[in-house]
Amino acid sequence: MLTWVLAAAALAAGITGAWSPCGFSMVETLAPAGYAGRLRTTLVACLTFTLGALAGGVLTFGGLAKLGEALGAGGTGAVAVATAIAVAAAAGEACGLRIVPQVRRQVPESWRRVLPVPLAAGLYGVLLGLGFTTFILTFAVWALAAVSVALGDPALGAVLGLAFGAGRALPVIALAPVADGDRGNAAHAAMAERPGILRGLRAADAVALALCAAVIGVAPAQAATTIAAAEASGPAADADLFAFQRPGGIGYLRRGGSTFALPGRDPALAAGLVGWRDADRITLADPATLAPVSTYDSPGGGAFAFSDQWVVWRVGTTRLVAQPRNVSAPPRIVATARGPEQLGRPALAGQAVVFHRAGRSGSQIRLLDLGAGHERVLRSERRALLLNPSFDGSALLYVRSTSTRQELRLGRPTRRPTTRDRRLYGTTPTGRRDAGHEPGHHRHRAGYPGGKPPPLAPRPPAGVSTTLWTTALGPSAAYVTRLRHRGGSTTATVLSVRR
Amino acid sequence: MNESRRGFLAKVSGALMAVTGARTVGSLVAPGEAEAYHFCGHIYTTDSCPHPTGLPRIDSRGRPLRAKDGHRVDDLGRLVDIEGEPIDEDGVRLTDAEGVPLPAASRTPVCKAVGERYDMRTQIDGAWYRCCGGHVRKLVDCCSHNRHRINGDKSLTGYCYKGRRVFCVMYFQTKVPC
Repeated sequence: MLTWVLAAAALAAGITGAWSPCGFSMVETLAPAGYAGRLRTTLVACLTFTLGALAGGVLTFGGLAKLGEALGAGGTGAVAVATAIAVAAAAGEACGLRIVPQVRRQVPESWRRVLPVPLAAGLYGVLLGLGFTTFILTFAVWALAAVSVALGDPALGAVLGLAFGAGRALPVIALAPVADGDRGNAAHAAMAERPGILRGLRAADAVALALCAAVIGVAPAQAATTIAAAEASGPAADADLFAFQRPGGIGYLRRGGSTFALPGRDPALAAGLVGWRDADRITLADPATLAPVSTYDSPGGGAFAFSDQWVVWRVGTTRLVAQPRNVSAPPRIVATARGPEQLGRPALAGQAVVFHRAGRSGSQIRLLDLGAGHERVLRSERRALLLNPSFDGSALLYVRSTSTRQELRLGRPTRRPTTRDRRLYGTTPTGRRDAGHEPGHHRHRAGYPGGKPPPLAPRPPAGVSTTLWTTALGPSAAYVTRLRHRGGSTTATVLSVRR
Repeated sequence: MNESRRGFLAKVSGALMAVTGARTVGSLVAPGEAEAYHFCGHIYTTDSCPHPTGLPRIDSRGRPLRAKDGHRVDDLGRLVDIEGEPIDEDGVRLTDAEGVPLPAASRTPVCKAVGERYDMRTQIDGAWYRCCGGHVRKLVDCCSHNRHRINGDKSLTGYCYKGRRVFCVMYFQTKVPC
């Protein structure tokens, strides 16, 4: 939906650009009676002009989106800014305000005299498609540029650029071949002498931009994904606190916009406290002062979780050990892996601990009631990995990984199929698929409805494998660690996704 | 005279059979058509069985292999070692940022996974062998009693037995040179 609305706005913005000095000049230049000299040359020039305009559009908007991606755009703040800009531009268009800032430049006139017309037309097309090299006739151009950066989605930027380029090309290639005839003259006269047409187009731009603002504002959470912490893993969240682990280093606590180093690893948050592990000792402390409240011995322990009643830690990847917070009982093993399977990082709310069991026979997310000793399966799949759940007592967050997609899913902590849970975020699978056919061959079409085989799943870039890993559940955001394996090294980033 | 008549009839019937046979073969494999489908050796339009990495290459037990190099992959399409643990292109175990190994996943025979996915009984019946890429390739059908194939239209008998029909296709690349 967002793609279609943005493409429509870009197309309208491109068409509006035909009313610029360069737009008029192009019709004149490409007309058979102009520098083209004959209809055949005009048609070839129209083709090169179109290709140039499309390329220019993709360069500008795809490039801006790439820039946004590099800047880590796509977050809630960026989306809000994009929405506000679209609303402001829509208002400006609706009122027919003068365009500011304006680009008071034109394409080089000499090209049509010194270059073959098709070549000149192609180069003119590139310049017009770029959007910001000549006069701008609508606020939509500025707005769409800002939206491209804010959303930071290069594929979406490329589509937007194609639509803009098509919009810039359409009026020119429609009018140039008939420019010398009566219809062409009439159309040219109408463009030049009836300001109502341009006003109407700007009104259409306003509607398209308003639609963009509306759709961006309610766009899926995918657009609201942002980097919570770079070079970080093992997120934890509680109320307005957020913590993470520097790979191979110590934990950090983010509070009130500031980030503090913790005196240990594997940070955890719950019950108004922050916890960390220093060698074999778990410490729970006041998050404001880091003054210890209680400590627990956890020999061989790794990642841990705590609540107001229990502390649970993982030993290796095969055992979970629990102890009451009040130390009224010694630590005891509460879960053990069977055979080669792996137990995941524990999550705890009250006396319910949630964790994954994953292995070659499938994977499960299980809930163990530490008080009653009951254990039950919340989610189970045979040919998918269900990983690293987070749990706040009323909602369950986890990673679901298949050969076609990795997803961050949110649902109720009751037993039900994964398909009933809400998908907060998705990315390419860890494994990279091939083209589905051998070189020199092609995919089948026969037998499929409409002769269209099902689309192939998205795939990661060659040489890179991405794995969604540990999660955390905050009051308004969900967090997931994104591991990237490239050339033997692993990097980790914690992403934040609006709930 | 009789001999010459019989000889003439034999020639006519032989010619007719040759024409009919040529037409039949031609309808199965038009010139160049064997190379036209999505992998070498496959000369009909039934599509691949869903496979974690695309092209439906399998090992001798029907489990998925990466087509380009025959490396084992799990149901997630990750390269795995002989133990089924996920590894990178250099054969090193995949770990998280702290060095904790990522968990193994299932590695289901492709035709069995098709049965689970489409909720039907599937099995491998017969096969056919062709020469592909300098090695003998075994073309394998994943068969079921479904009247429709994976493409959505009517299924065909192919190499399937006992009333079963081809739902989707796979292949096993042998090491036998040809």
